Amino acid sequence: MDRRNFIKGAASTLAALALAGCNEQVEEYLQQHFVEMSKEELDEARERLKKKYRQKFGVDFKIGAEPALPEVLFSYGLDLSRCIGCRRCVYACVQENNQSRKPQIQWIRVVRMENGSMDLEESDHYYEGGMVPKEGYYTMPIQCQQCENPPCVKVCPTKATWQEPDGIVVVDYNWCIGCRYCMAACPYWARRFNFSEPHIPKEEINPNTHYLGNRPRMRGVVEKCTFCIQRTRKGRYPACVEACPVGARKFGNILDPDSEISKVIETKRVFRLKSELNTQPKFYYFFSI
Amino acid sequence: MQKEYVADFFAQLRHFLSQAAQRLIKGPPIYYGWLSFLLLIVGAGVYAYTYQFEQGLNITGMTDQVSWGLYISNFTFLVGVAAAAVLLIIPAYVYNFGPIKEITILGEILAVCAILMCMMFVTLDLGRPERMWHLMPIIGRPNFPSSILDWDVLVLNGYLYLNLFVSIYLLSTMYFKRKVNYRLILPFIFLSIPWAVSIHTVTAYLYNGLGARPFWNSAILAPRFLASAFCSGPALCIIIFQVVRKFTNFNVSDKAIFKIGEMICIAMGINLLLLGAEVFKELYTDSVHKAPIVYLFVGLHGHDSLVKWIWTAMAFNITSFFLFLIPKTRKKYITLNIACVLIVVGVWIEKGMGLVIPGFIPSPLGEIWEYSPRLYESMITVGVWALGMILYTLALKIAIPIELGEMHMLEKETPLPDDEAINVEYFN
Amino acid sequence: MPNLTTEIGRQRPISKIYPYGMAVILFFFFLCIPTAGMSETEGAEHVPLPIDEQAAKSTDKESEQYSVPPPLVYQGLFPCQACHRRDVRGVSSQLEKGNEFLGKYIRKPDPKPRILVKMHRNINLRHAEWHWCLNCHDQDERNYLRLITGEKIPFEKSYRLCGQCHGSIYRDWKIGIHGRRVGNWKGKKLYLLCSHCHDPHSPKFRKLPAEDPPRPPHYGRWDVVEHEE
Repeated sequence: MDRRNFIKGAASTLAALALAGCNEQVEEYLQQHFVEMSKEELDEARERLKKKYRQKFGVDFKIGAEPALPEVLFSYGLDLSRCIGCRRCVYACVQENNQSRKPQIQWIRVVRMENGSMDLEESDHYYEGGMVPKEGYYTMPIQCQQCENPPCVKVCPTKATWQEPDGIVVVDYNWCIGCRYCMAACPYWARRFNFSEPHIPKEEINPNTHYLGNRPRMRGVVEKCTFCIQRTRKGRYPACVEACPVGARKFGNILDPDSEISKVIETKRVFRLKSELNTQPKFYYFFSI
Repeated sequence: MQKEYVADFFAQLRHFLSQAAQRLIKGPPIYYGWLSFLLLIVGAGVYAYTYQFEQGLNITGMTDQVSWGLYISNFTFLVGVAAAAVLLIIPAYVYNFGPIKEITILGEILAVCAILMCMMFVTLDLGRPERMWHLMPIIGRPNFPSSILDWDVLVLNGYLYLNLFVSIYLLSTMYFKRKVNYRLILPFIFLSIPWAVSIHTVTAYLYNGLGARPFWNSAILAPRFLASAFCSGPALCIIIFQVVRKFTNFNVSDKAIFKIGEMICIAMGINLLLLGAEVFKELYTDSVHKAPIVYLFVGLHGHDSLVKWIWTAMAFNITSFFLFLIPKTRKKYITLNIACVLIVVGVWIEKGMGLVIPGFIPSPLGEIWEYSPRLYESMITVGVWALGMILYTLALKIAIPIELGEMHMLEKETPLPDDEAINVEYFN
Repeated sequence: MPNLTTEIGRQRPISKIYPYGMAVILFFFFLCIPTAGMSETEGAEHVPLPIDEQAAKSTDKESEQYSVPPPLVYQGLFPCQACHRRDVRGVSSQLEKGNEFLGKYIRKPDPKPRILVKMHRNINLRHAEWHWCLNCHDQDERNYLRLITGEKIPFEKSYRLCGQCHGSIYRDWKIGIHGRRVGNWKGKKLYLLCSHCHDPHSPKFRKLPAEDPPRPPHYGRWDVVEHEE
């Protein structure tokens, strides 16, 4: 008997034993890892989630599970000479990706630094609103760098986070045990933990989701930027790219020599944050002027 | 024949259980006082835990910036305590140092309790503890051998069973008044020595291998862990042995205690040397990576909540080092005990708050967010400690009478004849 | 296709970038709406076409075609030829006769660079020192822009006009480095025109109000917010 059948057998036995009332919870509890689920199991899991979300938010959700597109490796460019630090991207991301409003979770952190310094320790994370850009300062948005050699994936004890073929590092929120080792391992502080039940107002919920992306999370699991997997796997731009009022954000397929990101790398001087750590980010900062 | 054996087995089991129950129930008032005191703390801890269970890790002081706190600090410290059990095994079996041999089993039981506490702390720290099965082979998906956390689960479990096996085996031979089958048990004892080193090394690697955290990413972290473990664990043992000696007939010789004191002295010397090397390298190099150590020792940009702690730890460690170093103070119980308490507290601070927390400050993006434990997580932490102490007290309540020969198998049964060919005694 | 009306509107709160006097209110509206009163042939040109179709139809000298969202225009001013018309029957002849009454309102185009005092005073021209309306706007057909070569181009192709001077930026814009694109990284995307972000009459970027800073990490977690920054 192979492992799958064993698990299935055990799961169905336990599920049969479960009371009718908490059947769904038991099924969810015994649910397998995303990559090990069969199509039927995945569909069941999605149905369960839809039901749950509808109860919680009163809307019908679309929970996609689109696989990676062939011959695609996503990459991102951020033009530091254009960014003004207005934080439009932060809030567009929160809205698109159903991040908790209270407690507040934001996947993008915009830091402000003095001209002439690139010491993150001297950076200001909490600079006030008001008119930007501010003279004498520049800003640098930081989010998941989608490393080719991701330390978070390396350390995860349950393979709950992994790299997809298109380069996106995703989390199976139903498999994460919440040990937060990945948070300690990430040099970009890109991961957030749901210390409590996330709260999103019903009217602000985005029901167009992806199983590995922006579906509402539960308490006790880690989440992170997925390059808007629910959009990008359908060919769309990530929300932050479209939100940027100065056009500092570039996105595309690095395997396509005509894509914006390939052109950025070809024609501009780019750098990757903390490249000495050999994480090989697919997130390129550049200066267009 | 078969029936007789079965009947005999059950008779023995019944006998053992009734003996054990009597031993656990009966005791002097101080025993009851001690247990009810601990139970009270455990009760408070359980109450706090129900709150955490309901609210999530929300109730702790941990944040996205400092994502590990008191629980993981205590886990790290207790792995050290567990590993230190070997320090008692090495002289006992390798050098055949008699006086220590008798007390080895107390150390091993301590290791078992410490490991159980470690596991409790890790479980408490999980956001989704009910999904622990995802870690297990076959039914879960362990990320082995890539994740050091999986290695840690492996070595800690292995160490737990190893120590359980050795101590239960040794106790059962005493209980049944048989000779120890050294051919059987010695390989396990010797295995437990590198295994003890491994649990603490792997725990150090847990932090060590993270390029994101320069404070931990230092090659001497594992040696430092071992050195500090070899101070705190045995120091705890010295205190425990004196308590045991006072309340039971179990004799722990002064010689053994002073020997352990010597070892602690050496370990603390190495610990201080390694810490000094670390501090020198960071401060003299004066690169941006020095931020956490600066934060720890003098504070950074006005944030200095750990400064008083680390200097307390430094003062304790250095004082105790000299108390252990000078023969006069080492061989005097008052100063020895002071030194032991100082060292336990000092290492607890240095390795808990002083090692885990500054790794997160400043955050990889340079944000300084200070951590301080909240009431409920402190209550839970103390509760786990109390639970561990209860376990240890109860285990000793049975183990010591067995070692003393006060508790043994049914007398009327003649022990099975020793098979001399198998039971070769190697050292005694 | 994303709903451009709301997306551009949200991301670029235009009213905030003209803090002084609010002399100019930029509003965008689909050209097909105001063109209802115009000739049908003109109206059809303003609808953004899919990339390949447009390329097939093109008689343009530029080989590359870019689909763009509707250009932004001044509210109430477009179509320009509603006022600047030269094809009104009889008017031209009246002008030629020197009809004083009509001449007050309908004049012959005056190509001489000058500061406008009667009309378009709300347009604040701060684009280089020497620029003047007819450097970019076609003199005779005001619904069009004019390249230095004399070629007339619609507002949808204003990038070619800008690219005459800003060559390296134009190159970056064409390959997607400068400027914004919305829609699909794979498939149909819209290239925002230069004028979607820069006011062509005063192209320097104005400051924007930043959104709120993140709340301190304990916000919403404990009963008391202990650390307000």
